[in-house]
Amino acid sequence: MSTERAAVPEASPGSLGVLGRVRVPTPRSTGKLRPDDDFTVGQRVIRRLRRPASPPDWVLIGSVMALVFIGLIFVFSSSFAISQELHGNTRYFATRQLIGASIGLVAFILLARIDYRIWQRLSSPIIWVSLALLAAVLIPGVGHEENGAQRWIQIGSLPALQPSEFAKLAVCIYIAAWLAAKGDDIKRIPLGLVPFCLIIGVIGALLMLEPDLGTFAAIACIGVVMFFLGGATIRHMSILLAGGSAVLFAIVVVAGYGMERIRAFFNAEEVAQEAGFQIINLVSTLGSGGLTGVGLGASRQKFFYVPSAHTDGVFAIIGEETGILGGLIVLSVFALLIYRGIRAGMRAEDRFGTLLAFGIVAWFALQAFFNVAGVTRTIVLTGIPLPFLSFGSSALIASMAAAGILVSISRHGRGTMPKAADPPLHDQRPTRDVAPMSETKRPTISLFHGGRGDGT
Amino acid sequence: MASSSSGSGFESVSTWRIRAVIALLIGLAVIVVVRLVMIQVVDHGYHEAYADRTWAIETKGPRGAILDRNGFPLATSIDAWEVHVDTRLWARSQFQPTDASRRLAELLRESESRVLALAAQTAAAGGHDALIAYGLSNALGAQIHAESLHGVQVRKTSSRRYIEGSMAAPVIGLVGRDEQGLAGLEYQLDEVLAGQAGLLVQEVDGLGHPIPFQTPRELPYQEGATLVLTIDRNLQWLAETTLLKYVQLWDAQGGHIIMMDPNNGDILALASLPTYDPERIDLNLPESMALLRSRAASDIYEPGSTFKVVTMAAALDAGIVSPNTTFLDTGAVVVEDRTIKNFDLAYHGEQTMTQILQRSLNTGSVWVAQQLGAQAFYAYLYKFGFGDTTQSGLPGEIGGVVTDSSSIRWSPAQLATDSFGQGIAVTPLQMVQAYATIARGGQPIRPRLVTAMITDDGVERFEPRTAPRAISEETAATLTWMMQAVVDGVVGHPAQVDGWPIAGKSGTSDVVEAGGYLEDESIASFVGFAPADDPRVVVLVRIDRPQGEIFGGIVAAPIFAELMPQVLPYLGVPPTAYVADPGDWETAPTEDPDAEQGQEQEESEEEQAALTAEVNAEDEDSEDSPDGNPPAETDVEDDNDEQSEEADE
Repeated sequence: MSTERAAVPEASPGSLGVLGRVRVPTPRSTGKLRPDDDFTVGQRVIRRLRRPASPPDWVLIGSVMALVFIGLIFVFSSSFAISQELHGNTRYFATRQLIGASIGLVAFILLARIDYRIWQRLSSPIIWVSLALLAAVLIPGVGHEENGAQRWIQIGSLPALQPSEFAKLAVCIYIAAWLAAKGDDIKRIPLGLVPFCLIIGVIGALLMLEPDLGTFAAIACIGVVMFFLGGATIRHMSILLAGGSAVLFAIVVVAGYGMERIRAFFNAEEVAQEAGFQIINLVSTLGSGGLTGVGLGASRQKFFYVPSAHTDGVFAIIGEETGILGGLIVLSVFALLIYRGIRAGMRAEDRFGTLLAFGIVAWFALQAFFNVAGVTRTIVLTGIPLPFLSFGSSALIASMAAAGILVSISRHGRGTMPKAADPPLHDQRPTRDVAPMSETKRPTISLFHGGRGDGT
Repeated sequence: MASSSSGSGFESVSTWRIRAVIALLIGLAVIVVVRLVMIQVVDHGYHEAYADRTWAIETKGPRGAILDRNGFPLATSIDAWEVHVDTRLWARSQFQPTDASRRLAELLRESESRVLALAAQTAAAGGHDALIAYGLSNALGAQIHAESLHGVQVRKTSSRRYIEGSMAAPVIGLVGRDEQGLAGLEYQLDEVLAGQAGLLVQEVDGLGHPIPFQTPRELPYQEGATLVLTIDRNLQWLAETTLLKYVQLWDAQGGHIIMMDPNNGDILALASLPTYDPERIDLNLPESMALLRSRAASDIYEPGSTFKVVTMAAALDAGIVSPNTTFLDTGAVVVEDRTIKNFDLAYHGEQTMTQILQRSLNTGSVWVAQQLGAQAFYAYLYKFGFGDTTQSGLPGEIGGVVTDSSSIRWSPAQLATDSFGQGIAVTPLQMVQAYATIARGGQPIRPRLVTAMITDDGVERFEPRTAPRAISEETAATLTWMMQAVVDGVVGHPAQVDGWPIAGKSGTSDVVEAGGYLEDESIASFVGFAPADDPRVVVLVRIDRPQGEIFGGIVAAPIFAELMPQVLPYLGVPPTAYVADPGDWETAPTEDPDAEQGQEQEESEEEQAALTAEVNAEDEDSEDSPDGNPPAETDVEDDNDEQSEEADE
């Protein structure tokens, strides 16, 4: 980022945003702060970090920390047996998850403190870096294969990096920025639906080369939710639904990818020793927990009865050890996090913030649903991890970074600002091409009344 | 509601869209919660049972040993090790060579490709626990264990060792790889030898290993009992080597030598051929299964002339005949549609009962049985234990085939042939049991194989088991005298042994195969006991299908004679000055024995040396009667049985 303010494009609408530069609103500095170009890069970063904001949403932070903490406990509980078996060390996976959580905490704090609007300006570089990493995974020697899928970048002895997890964040940021810039143009198919499909399609193609249908499905769903919020018409949505079904059909039925899981879903008992083994044991793991569970750490199923007990199956272990009580508590914390995320998104002063917040919320909520529904045999097992809880450093770091952005959004929303001497930068004139709306026309949302704070 | 183009983010996203998304998320949450309740609350019981990982594992103590009567071990169990591979761990390397497989193959002195193939085979069959090697020594097992190769597990088991190789295999039997008895006493007394399995109740993981940090509930096992057999290792060796020698000499198919102490029923030796080496036999071969039978108890044969003794015992005991009762032999007797002749096709004229046995006259046996009557005849057979098992404890023991007069298949001809051991089927053990009954004075005794059982609780001894008396003591004594006449009363009988009086009877029977009799094949047998005046051992010698000669008197009797000078001194019966004198058996002892005693004594003394020397040299059937006074009939030995007459029918 150099002289971005001057570089706000006036390009034709057709070139807008598709994997390219997104037109961004320009924040204006006021008060004691001087314009960006009078600062060195370092000074600008510091200035952004110091940007005045309201106190963070401690409930949001608390729910994230609770999930990470619960995750660490259950990753250890569910992994020590397989850890000992594979690595001769009961703490192998737990240690790696702890390292991931530490890095994630740093990212969380940093991103919570940085004004999230900077990501709007950086959305293009972010998506390009993300695409580059996704492509790098496929390069032999760089990409690392496990269980028949090449999803990791392994450099030396460093922990393997899973770019698809960071791609989720990149997609949220990019689509939010793109939709924010588009405004009502989104309703025109060539300017809305086609570019959207192009974005999702390119990422999806890279993911399916790994292959990773689960992440593709997650990213597609997150994108669709954001696209819907961004103003997609019913017609768009119908086309997307039809197209998405066709693509899914092509991948599963024509290419045969994931067919085994679908068969296992419908006929688990017939293939109980092979494909059905995982799902049958996942359900019974949950079921054996009953109301209050067999006790923390006392799971039996994690002893090689549930494949991937510490990754996709961690919720089953939670259900086994702490019963439906523990499972509902975990889901309640998720619900709290999602509620506070929605709240932050609704209070965001700009369209980008709202869309980004809802994108991240959709990410957490949909992944949690896909995971738990898979484990309960409500839908086909997708191999999508449970955010914050499943083992996986990349996923944990990416989720915590996203949560940090949510906190950042919560700090800058309407009704959250302190009556400070320095009014926030974006309060002045948000964007050049979007007209301000009067206070009286602001719609209220009955679901969340009373959440307005003390007003501006 | 259309989205507005407001400057604020909130206004920019229309409310209905947000509501729709929130409603979607709430809907998804409700679905998940409903599913959780269904699984964790409604179906909790089902899943709890499914996920119950408690396994009760049987624990076994060491298998009891098998000792001979003097405490020499015949079968024991030693610690051994098995090597298993968890194929799930090797599957990651696609069963390609790894450090672990290379090292394991090196330690086992196996080819690496074979080790990998074994693991891959198990994995292909859906298993994950591949047995790579078993029966490893302690040292090798410990070494493999210490190297903790990836995916390789070493488990302690025990392995059966048969110290004396194939010795007594038909009695002892063998165990399979899991120490499960498969044949012989190992099979029959498997529960006793294996002991009471204990239980280890614990939770196991998906790989079958106990889950750590638990306190298993344990029911301790009970060690297996050690069996003390009646078999004497030395006599067994003698019997086996002798049998093998003669089976080879006669190019025979097999045979039996059974030695039994008639006083307590102890089987001192039981040799059967063909046999097997329990540590080497390949149980995968189909022909192996036939070898595992305890033939002495499970295989029937027609006893032939050895059975005439039983017929005679019945008639004597019933008071129908006495040793000197005579009948007129016309060389053939017609019963219904059958003509029964003597083996020599000869006409013998007036013959005593003793002579019937000595000359093994089929016509005489038929006459005796007819005098006795079918009902009484078969009643005696049952008293002697025919038609029922001897309860020896060998697996698969059968009672033989007796077609008595109550059977619809019975006819007078059946009685006639039964009287000389044809058309009736018995086991070798039954014959030994019947002869032992005579030897011990008429009270049947069961053959016994196990004298004691040693457990943690002490020693349990098994008492000899008798059956209700079959014949009176007087009958037994008379019959013994007659049987002695058969051997010692015939000049140059091959079963004679200098130093001990011998009583016995040979038999030559037909080989039944596929429902008919085989030509030129026979079962040559001799059953006898010694010393005749105080029997210490009953011996059955049986050679199956000898080549070149068919008669029991020629094939089997000399084996008996060869065994006695070794067996009797071993049993504490030193030789005496006794030498067989055929003259002693001209008349039965009951008829004025004192009067004839002196005369016979003199005669016999003179001729003894000459006779035996002469006859022994010729040693074949039907010598001429030597010069001098021995009865003319002594020239015919009973070797030549009823064989030929059968062909005439």
